Amino acid sequence: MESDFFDNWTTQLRKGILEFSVLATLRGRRLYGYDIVKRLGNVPGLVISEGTVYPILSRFKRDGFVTTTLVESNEGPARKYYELTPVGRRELARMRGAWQAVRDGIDSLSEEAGS
Amino acid sequence: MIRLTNEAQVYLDDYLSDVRSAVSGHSSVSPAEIEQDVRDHVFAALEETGGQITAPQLAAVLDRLGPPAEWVADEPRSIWKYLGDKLKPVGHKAVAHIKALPGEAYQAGRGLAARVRGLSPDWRLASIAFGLFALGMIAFPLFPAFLIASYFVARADVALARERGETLGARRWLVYPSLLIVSLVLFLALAAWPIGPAVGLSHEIPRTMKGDVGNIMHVSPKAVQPVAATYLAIGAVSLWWIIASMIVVRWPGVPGALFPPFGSKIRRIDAAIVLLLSGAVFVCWLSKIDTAVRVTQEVLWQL
Repeated sequence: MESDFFDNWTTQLRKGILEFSVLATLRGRRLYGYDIVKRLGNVPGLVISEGTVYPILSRFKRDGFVTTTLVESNEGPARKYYELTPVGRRELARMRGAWQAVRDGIDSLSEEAGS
Repeated sequence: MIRLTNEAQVYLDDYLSDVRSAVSGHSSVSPAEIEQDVRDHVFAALEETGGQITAPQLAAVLDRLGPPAEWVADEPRSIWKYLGDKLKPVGHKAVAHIKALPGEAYQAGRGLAARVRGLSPDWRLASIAFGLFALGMIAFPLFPAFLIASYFVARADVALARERGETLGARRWLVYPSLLIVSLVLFLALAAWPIGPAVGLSHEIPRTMKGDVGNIMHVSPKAVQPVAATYLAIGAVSLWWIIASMIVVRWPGVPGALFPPFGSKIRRIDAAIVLLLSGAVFVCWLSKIDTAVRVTQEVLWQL
Protein backbone atom coordinates (compact mmCIF):
# COMPACT_ATOMS: atom_id res chain seq x y z
CA MET A 1 0.00 0.00 0.00
CA GLU A 2 2.70 2.47 1.08
CA SER A 3 4.83 1.34 -1.84
CA ASP A 4 1.94 1.90 -4.31
CA PHE A 5 1.45 5.41 -3.00
CA PHE A 6 5.16 6.21 -3.28
CA ASP A 7 5.38 4.76 -6.83
CA ASN A 8 2.37 6.77 -7.95
CA TRP A 9 3.72 9.92 -6.34
CA THR A 10 7.17 9.61 -7.94
CA THR A 11 5.54 8.89 -11.34
CA GLN A 12 3.44 12.07 -11.13
CA LEU A 13 6.41 14.10 -9.90
CA ARG A 14 8.63 12.82 -12.70
CA LYS A 15 6.04 13.57 -15.41
CA GLY A 16 5.74 17.18 -14.33
CA ILE A 17 9.45 17.90 -14.22
CA LEU A 18 10.47 15.88 -17.29
CA GLU A 19 9.03 18.48 -19.69
CA PHE A 20 10.84 21.23 -17.80
CA SER A 21 14.05 19.18 -17.87
CA VAL A 22 13.81 18.60 -21.64
CA LEU A 23 13.59 22.35 -22.26
CA ALA A 24 16.34 23.01 -19.70
CA THR A 25 18.66 20.54 -21.47
CA LEU A 26 18.31 22.53 -24.68
CA ARG A 27 19.09 25.87 -23.03
CA GLY A 28 21.78 27.66 -25.03
CA ARG A 29 22.65 24.68 -27.25
CA ARG A 30 21.52 22.49 -30.11
CA LEU A 31 21.27 18.76 -29.32
CA TYR A 32 20.59 15.53 -31.17
CA GLY A 33 17.61 13.49 -29.81
CA TYR A 34 19.83 10.68 -28.50
CA ASP A 35 22.07 13.23 -26.74
CA ILE A 36 19.07 14.77 -24.98
CA VAL A 37 17.96 11.35 -23.75
CA LYS A 38 21.47 10.47 -22.52
CA ARG A 39 21.86 13.78 -20.65
CA LEU A 40 18.46 13.37 -18.99
CA GLY A 41 19.38 9.78 -18.16
CA ASN A 42 22.27 11.10 -16.04
CA VAL A 43 19.76 12.67 -13.61
CA PRO A 44 18.97 9.91 -11.10
CA GLY A 45 15.34 8.72 -11.23
CA LEU A 46 14.25 11.25 -13.87
CA VAL A 47 13.89 9.03 -16.95
CA ILE A 48 12.59 5.51 -16.44
CA SER A 49 11.61 4.85 -20.09
CA GLU A 50 13.93 6.72 -22.46
CA GLY A 51 11.27 6.71 -25.19
CA THR A 52 9.05 9.03 -23.12
CA VAL A 53 11.25 11.93 -24.21
CA TYR A 54 10.35 11.67 -27.93
CA PRO A 55 6.58 12.39 -27.66
CA ILE A 56 7.51 15.40 -25.49
CA LEU A 57 9.91 16.66 -28.17
CA SER A 58 7.26 16.11 -30.85
CA ARG A 59 4.70 18.06 -28.83
CA PHE A 60 7.18 20.88 -28.15
CA LYS A 61 7.88 21.10 -31.87
CA ARG A 62 4.16 21.28 -32.64
CA ASP A 63 3.72 23.96 -29.95
CA GLY A 64 6.61 25.98 -31.39
CA PHE A 65 8.88 25.62 -28.34
CA VAL A 66 11.64 23.89 -30.32
CA THR A 67 12.75 23.76 -33.90
CA THR A 68 14.69 21.01 -35.70
CA THR A 69 17.55 20.97 -38.20
CA LEU A 70 18.87 17.96 -40.12
CA VAL A 71 22.67 17.76 -40.05
CA GLU A 72 24.67 15.27 -42.12
CA SER A 73 26.64 12.78 -40.01
CA ASN A 74 29.83 10.87 -40.89
CA GLU A 75 28.73 7.94 -38.77
CA GLY A 76 25.36 7.21 -40.37
CA PRO A 77 22.09 8.87 -41.47
CA ALA A 78 21.52 12.62 -41.09
CA ARG A 79 20.86 13.61 -37.48
CA LYS A 80 17.98 15.75 -36.32
CA TYR A 81 19.07 18.46 -33.92
CA TYR A 82 16.66 20.25 -31.61
CA GLU A 83 17.04 23.83 -30.37
CA LEU A 84 14.84 26.25 -28.44
CA THR A 85 12.83 28.91 -30.26
CA PRO A 86 12.24 32.34 -28.67
CA VAL A 87 8.83 31.01 -27.51
CA GLY A 88 10.53 27.97 -25.97
CA ARG A 89 13.09 30.18 -24.19
CA ARG A 90 10.30 32.33 -22.74
CA GLU A 91 8.40 29.24 -21.61
CA LEU A 92 11.55 27.80 -20.03
CA ALA A 93 12.13 31.05 -18.10
CA ARG A 94 8.56 30.91 -16.77
CA MET A 95 8.96 27.27 -15.79
CA ARG A 96 12.24 28.00 -14.02
CA GLY A 97 10.57 30.77 -12.05
CA ALA A 98 7.69 28.49 -11.04
CA TRP A 99 10.10 25.67 -10.18
CA GLN A 100 12.26 27.91 -7.97
CA ALA A 101 9.21 29.26 -6.16
CA VAL A 102 7.95 25.74 -5.40
CA ARG A 103 11.42 24.53 -4.37
CA ASP A 104 12.00 27.53 -2.05
CA GLY A 105 8.53 27.07 -0.57
CA ILE A 106 9.11 23.38 0.15
CA ASP A 107 12.60 24.10 1.56
CA SER A 108 11.17 26.65 3.96
CA LEU A 109 8.48 24.18 5.04
CA SER A 110 11.15 21.55 5.69
CA GLU A 111 13.26 24.06 7.67
CA GLU A 112 10.23 24.99 9.79
CA ALA A 113 9.55 21.33 10.48
CA GLY A 114 13.24 20.72 11.36
CA SER A 115 13.63 23.67 13.74
CA MET B 1 27.92 0.79 -40.51
CA ILE B 2 25.31 -1.18 -38.56
CA ARG B 3 23.58 -4.26 -39.89
CA LEU B 4 20.79 -6.10 -38.09
CA THR B 5 20.38 -9.87 -38.16
CA ASN B 6 17.04 -11.04 -39.61
CA GLU B 7 15.79 -11.81 -36.12
CA ALA B 8 16.80 -8.36 -34.86
CA GLN B 9 15.18 -6.68 -37.88
CA VAL B 10 11.86 -8.44 -37.16
CA TYR B 11 12.17 -7.44 -33.50
CA LEU B 12 12.78 -3.78 -34.45
CA ASP B 13 9.90 -3.76 -36.98
CA ASP B 14 7.55 -5.14 -34.30
CA TYR B 15 8.68 -2.54 -31.82
CA LEU B 16 8.24 0.33 -34.33
CA SER B 17 4.80 -1.03 -35.14
CA ASP B 18 3.98 -0.81 -31.40
CA VAL B 19 5.32 2.77 -31.38
CA ARG B 20 3.05 3.72 -34.31
CA SER B 21 0.06 2.08 -32.69
CA ALA B 22 0.71 3.71 -29.30
CA VAL B 23 1.19 7.28 -30.52
CA SER B 24 -1.24 7.40 -33.45
CA GLY B 25 -4.52 9.12 -32.68
CA HIS B 26 -2.89 11.62 -30.32
CA SER B 27 -3.35 14.96 -32.04
CA SER B 28 -0.64 16.66 -29.94
CA VAL B 29 2.21 14.61 -31.42
CA SER B 30 3.39 13.49 -34.86
CA PRO B 31 3.53 9.65 -35.03
CA ALA B 32 5.78 9.64 -38.13
CA GLU B 33 8.25 11.97 -36.43
CA ILE B 34 8.34 9.93 -33.22
CA GLU B 35 8.87 6.72 -35.17
CA GLN B 36 11.79 8.30 -37.04
CA ASP B 37 13.24 9.66 -33.77
CA VAL B 38 13.05 6.21 -32.16
CA ARG B 39 14.69 4.62 -35.22
CA ASP B 40 17.50 7.22 -35.07
CA HIS B 41 17.85 6.63 -31.32
CA VAL B 42 18.24 2.88 -31.81
CA PHE B 43 20.90 3.29 -34.49
CA ALA B 44 22.76 5.93 -32.44
CA ALA B 45 22.72 3.67 -29.37
CA LEU B 46 24.05 0.74 -31.41
CA GLU B 47 26.77 2.73 -33.17
CA GLU B 48 29.22 2.04 -30.35
CA THR B 49 28.62 -1.71 -30.74
CA GLY B 50 29.03 -1.58 -34.55
CA GLY B 51 29.01 -4.51 -36.98
CA GLN B 52 26.17 -7.00 -37.03
CA ILE B 53 23.59 -6.43 -34.30
CA THR B 54 21.85 -9.43 -32.76
CA ALA B 55 18.37 -9.53 -31.24
CA PRO B 56 19.63 -9.56 -27.60
CA GLN B 57 21.84 -6.51 -28.28
CA LEU B 58 18.86 -4.70 -29.80
CA ALA B 59 16.59 -5.85 -26.97
CA ALA B 60 18.83 -4.10 -24.42
CA VAL B 61 18.37 -0.76 -26.24
CA LEU B 62 14.61 -1.25 -26.66
CA ASP B 63 14.23 -2.19 -22.98
CA ARG B 64 15.77 1.14 -22.01
CA LEU B 65 13.36 2.93 -24.38
CA GLY B 66 10.51 1.20 -22.54
CA PRO B 67 6.99 0.12 -23.61
CA PRO B 68 5.56 2.67 -26.12
CA ALA B 69 2.05 2.26 -24.67
CA GLU B 70 3.22 4.12 -21.54
CA TRP B 71 4.74 7.11 -23.36
CA VAL B 72 1.53 9.01 -24.07
CA ALA B 73 -0.91 7.10 -21.87
CA ASP B 74 -2.51 10.22 -20.32
CA GLU B 75 -3.02 12.21 -23.52
CA PRO B 76 -6.40 12.49 -25.28
CA ARG B 77 -6.84 10.30 -28.39
CA SER B 78 -8.98 10.73 -31.50
CA ILE B 79 -12.39 9.05 -31.61
CA TRP B 80 -11.27 6.85 -34.53
CA LYS B 81 -8.29 5.50 -32.63
CA TYR B 82 -10.44 5.03 -29.55
CA LEU B 83 -13.01 3.08 -31.60
CA GLY B 84 -10.21 1.09 -33.24
CA ASP B 85 -8.90 0.01 -29.84
CA LYS B 86 -12.40 -0.80 -28.62
CA LEU B 87 -13.11 -2.88 -31.74
CA LYS B 88 -9.83 -4.82 -31.52
CA PRO B 89 -11.19 -7.30 -28.94
CA VAL B 90 -14.25 -7.81 -31.18
CA GLY B 91 -11.92 -8.73 -34.04
CA HIS B 92 -10.01 -11.13 -31.80
CA LYS B 93 -13.30 -12.73 -30.74
CA ALA B 94 -14.32 -13.10 -34.40
CA VAL B 95 -11.03 -14.85 -35.14
CA ALA B 96 -11.63 -17.15 -32.13
CA HIS B 97 -15.13 -17.97 -33.47
CA ILE B 98 -13.69 -18.71 -36.91
CA LYS B 99 -11.21 -21.07 -35.29
CA ALA B 100 -14.10 -22.83 -33.57
CA LEU B 101 -15.96 -23.46 -36.87
CA PRO B 102 -16.05 -27.05 -38.16
CA GLY B 103 -14.48 -28.51 -41.34
CA GLU B 104 -14.27 -26.48 -44.56
CA ALA B 105 -15.88 -23.40 -43.04
CA TYR B 106 -13.10 -23.39 -40.46
CA GLN B 107 -10.41 -23.70 -43.12
CA ALA B 108 -11.93 -20.93 -45.24
CA GLY B 109 -12.44 -18.62 -42.27
CA ARG B 110 -9.01 -19.35 -40.89
CA GLY B 111 -7.43 -18.60 -44.25
CA LEU B 112 -9.25 -15.29 -44.42
CA ALA B 113 -8.31 -14.33 -40.85
CA ALA B 114 -4.68 -15.24 -41.54
CA ARG B 115 -4.65 -13.11 -44.69
CA VAL B 116 -6.08 -10.08 -42.87
CA ARG B 117 -3.55 -10.55 -40.04
CA GLY B 118 -0.74 -10.99 -42.56
CA LEU B 119 -1.43 -7.65 -44.28
CA SER B 120 0.85 -4.75 -43.48
CA PRO B 121 -0.78 -2.55 -40.79
CA ASP B 122 -0.88 0.35 -43.25
CA TRP B 123 -2.98 -1.67 -45.72
CA ARG B 124 -5.15 -3.55 -43.23
CA LEU B 125 -7.99 -1.01 -42.85
CA ALA B 126 -8.02 -0.15 -46.57
CA SER B 127 -8.22 -3.86 -47.47
CA ILE B 128 -11.07 -4.45 -44.99
CA ALA B 129 -12.92 -1.42 -46.43
CA PHE B 130 -12.61 -2.77 -49.96
CA GLY B 131 -13.45 -6.30 -48.82
CA LEU B 132 -16.71 -5.09 -47.27
CA PHE B 133 -17.53 -3.14 -50.43
CA ALA B 134 -16.87 -6.21 -52.60
CA LEU B 135 -18.96 -8.41 -50.29
CA GLY B 136 -21.82 -5.93 -50.65
CA MET B 137 -21.59 -6.23 -54.44
CA ILE B 138 -21.73 -10.03 -54.21
CA ALA B 139 -24.59 -10.14 -51.68
CA PHE B 140 -26.38 -7.30 -53.46
CA PRO B 141 -29.58 -7.03 -51.37
CA LEU B 142 -27.30 -6.34 -48.41
CA PHE B 143 -25.27 -3.74 -50.34
CA PRO B 144 -26.43 -0.69 -48.31
CA ALA B 145 -25.39 -2.32 -45.00
CA PHE B 146 -21.97 -3.40 -46.35
CA LEU B 147 -21.50 -0.02 -48.04
CA ILE B 148 -22.07 1.86 -44.78
CA ALA B 149 -19.71 -0.49 -42.89
CA SER B 150 -17.09 -0.06 -45.63
CA TYR B 151 -17.57 3.73 -45.54
CA PHE B 152 -16.83 3.93 -41.80
CA VAL B 153 -13.75 1.70 -42.06
CA ALA B 154 -12.52 3.79 -45.03
CA ARG B 155 -13.06 7.01 -43.04
CA ALA B 156 -11.06 5.53 -40.15
CA ASP B 157 -8.22 4.75 -42.56
CA VAL B 158 -8.27 8.28 -44.02
CA ALA B 159 -8.32 9.80 -40.50
CA LEU B 160 -5.41 7.65 -39.32
CA ALA B 161 -3.36 8.45 -42.42
CA ARG B 162 -3.96 12.16 -41.81
CA GLU B 163 -2.97 11.86 -38.15
CA ARG B 164 0.24 10.08 -39.14
CA GLY B 165 0.95 12.77 -41.73
CA GLU B 166 0.91 10.14 -44.52
CA THR B 167 -0.64 10.23 -47.97
CA LEU B 168 -2.98 7.37 -48.91
CA GLY B 169 -0.95 6.54 -52.03
CA ALA B 170 -2.16 3.43 -53.85
CA ARG B 171 -4.40 2.58 -50.86
CA ARG B 172 -6.82 5.22 -52.09
CA TRP B 173 -8.13 2.84 -54.78
CA LEU B 174 -9.34 0.53 -51.99
CA VAL B 175 -11.04 3.21 -49.88
CA TYR B 176 -12.37 5.54 -52.60
CA PRO B 177 -15.27 3.34 -53.90
CA SER B 178 -17.31 3.41 -50.70
CA LEU B 179 -16.19 6.94 -49.77
CA LEU B 180 -17.13 8.27 -53.21
CA ILE B 181 -20.58 6.63 -53.35
CA VAL B 182 -21.63 7.57 -49.80
CA SER B 183 -20.16 11.09 -50.08
CA LEU B 184 -21.96 11.66 -53.40
CA VAL B 185 -25.32 10.50 -51.99
CA LEU B 186 -24.84 12.61 -48.85
CA PHE B 187 -23.78 15.63 -50.90
CA LEU B 188 -26.77 15.39 -53.25
CA ALA B 189 -29.15 14.98 -50.29
CA LEU B 190 -27.58 17.92 -48.47
CA ALA B 191 -27.50 20.13 -51.58
CA ALA B 192 -30.99 19.46 -52.92
CA TRP B 193 -33.18 18.79 -49.88
CA PRO B 194 -35.10 22.12 -50.18
CA ILE B 195 -36.60 20.87 -53.48
CA GLY B 196 -38.85 18.41 -51.57
CA PRO B 197 -40.64 20.96 -49.36
CA ALA B 198 -40.83 23.43 -52.30
CA VAL B 199 -42.58 20.92 -54.58
CA GLY B 200 -44.85 19.89 -51.70
CA LEU B 201 -45.85 23.53 -51.18
CA SER B 202 -46.73 23.95 -54.87
CA HIS B 203 -49.29 21.14 -54.50
CA GLU B 204 -51.16 23.29 -51.97
CA ILE B 205 -52.72 25.38 -54.78
CA PRO B 206 -56.34 24.09 -54.97
CA ARG B 207 -57.38 22.57 -58.32
CA THR B 208 -60.39 24.94 -58.56
CA MET B 209 -58.14 27.99 -58.38
CA LYS B 210 -55.68 27.05 -61.09
CA GLY B 211 -57.50 29.21 -63.68
CA ASP B 212 -57.29 32.39 -61.58
CA VAL B 213 -53.72 31.68 -60.48
CA GLY B 214 -52.76 30.93 -64.10
CA ASN B 215 -54.06 34.39 -65.11
CA ILE B 216 -51.88 36.07 -62.50
CA MET B 217 -48.85 34.01 -63.56
CA HIS B 218 -49.60 34.42 -67.31
CA VAL B 219 -49.50 30.63 -67.84
CA SER B 220 -52.11 28.01 -68.70
CA PRO B 221 -53.93 26.30 -65.77
CA LYS B 222 -52.09 23.03 -66.58
CA ALA B 223 -48.69 24.72 -66.18
CA VAL B 224 -49.53 26.39 -62.84
CA GLN B 225 -48.30 23.60 -60.59
CA PRO B 226 -45.01 22.80 -62.47
CA VAL B 227 -44.14 26.51 -62.82
CA ALA B 228 -44.93 27.18 -59.14
CA ALA B 229 -42.89 24.11 -58.10
CA THR B 230 -39.92 25.23 -60.22
CA TYR B 231 -40.12 28.81 -58.91
CA LEU B 232 -40.30 27.71 -55.27
CA ALA B 233 -37.53 25.12 -55.72
CA ILE B 234 -35.15 27.68 -57.30
CA GLY B 235 -35.80 30.11 -54.46
CA ALA B 236 -35.40 27.51 -51.71
CA VAL B 237 -32.25 25.92 -53.18
CA SER B 238 -30.53 29.24 -53.90
CA LEU B 239 -31.32 30.50 -50.39
CA TRP B 240 -30.02 27.24 -48.88
CA TRP B 241 -26.83 27.43 -50.97
CA ILE B 242 -26.28 31.02 -49.81
CA ILE B 243 -26.49 29.81 -46.19
CA ALA B 244 -24.34 26.71 -46.82
CA SER B 245 -21.63 28.64 -48.69
CA MET B 246 -21.54 31.30 -45.97
CA ILE B 247 -20.94 28.51 -43.43
CA VAL B 248 -18.05 27.19 -45.56
CA VAL B 249 -16.57 30.69 -46.01
CA ARG B 250 -16.63 31.11 -42.22
CA TRP B 251 -15.52 27.51 -41.39
CA PRO B 252 -13.61 26.11 -44.41
CA GLY B 253 -12.95 22.82 -42.58
CA VAL B 254 -16.63 21.77 -42.68
CA PRO B 255 -16.62 20.09 -46.15
CA GLY B 256 -13.43 18.20 -45.24
CA ALA B 257 -15.05 16.89 -42.06
CA LEU B 258 -18.30 15.91 -43.84
CA PHE B 259 -16.87 14.40 -47.01
CA PRO B 260 -13.29 13.21 -46.39
CA PRO B 261 -10.96 13.21 -48.23
CA PHE B 262 -12.66 14.91 -51.21
CA GLY B 263 -14.23 17.76 -49.20
CA SER B 264 -10.84 18.99 -48.01
CA LYS B 265 -10.11 20.14 -51.58
CA ILE B 266 -12.89 22.75 -51.31
CA ARG B 267 -11.34 26.10 -50.45
CA ARG B 268 -12.76 29.30 -49.08
CA ILE B 269 -12.56 30.90 -52.56
CA ASP B 270 -14.70 28.07 -54.05
CA ALA B 271 -17.36 28.70 -51.40
CA ALA B 272 -17.20 32.45 -52.13
CA ILE B 273 -17.84 31.77 -55.86
CA VAL B 274 -20.85 29.56 -54.99
CA LEU B 275 -22.06 32.31 -52.65
CA LEU B 276 -21.90 34.88 -55.46
CA LEU B 277 -23.67 32.60 -57.98
CA SER B 278 -26.39 31.59 -55.48
CA GLY B 279 -26.83 35.25 -54.55
CA ALA B 280 -27.25 36.19 -58.24
CA VAL B 281 -29.87 33.45 -58.74
CA PHE B 282 -31.68 34.53 -55.58
CA VAL B 283 -31.75 38.17 -56.74
CA CYS B 284 -33.29 37.05 -60.09
CA TRP B 285 -35.78 34.99 -58.10
CA LEU B 286 -36.71 38.02 -55.99
CA SER B 287 -37.47 40.01 -59.18
CA LYS B 288 -40.57 37.81 -59.62
CA ILE B 289 -41.57 37.91 -55.96
CA ASP B 290 -44.49 40.30 -56.62
CA THR B 291 -46.22 37.61 -58.73
CA ALA B 292 -45.60 35.04 -55.98
CA VAL B 293 -47.06 37.41 -53.38
CA ARG B 294 -50.16 37.99 -55.51
CA VAL B 295 -50.63 34.22 -55.97
CA THR B 296 -50.25 33.66 -52.23
CA GLN B 297 -52.77 36.42 -51.46
CA GLU B 298 -55.22 34.98 -54.00
CA VAL B 299 -54.92 31.45 -52.55
CA LEU B 300 -55.25 32.65 -48.95
CA TRP B 301 -58.22 34.87 -49.83
CA GLN B 302 -60.06 32.03 -51.62
CA LEU B 303 -59.37 29.64 -48.71
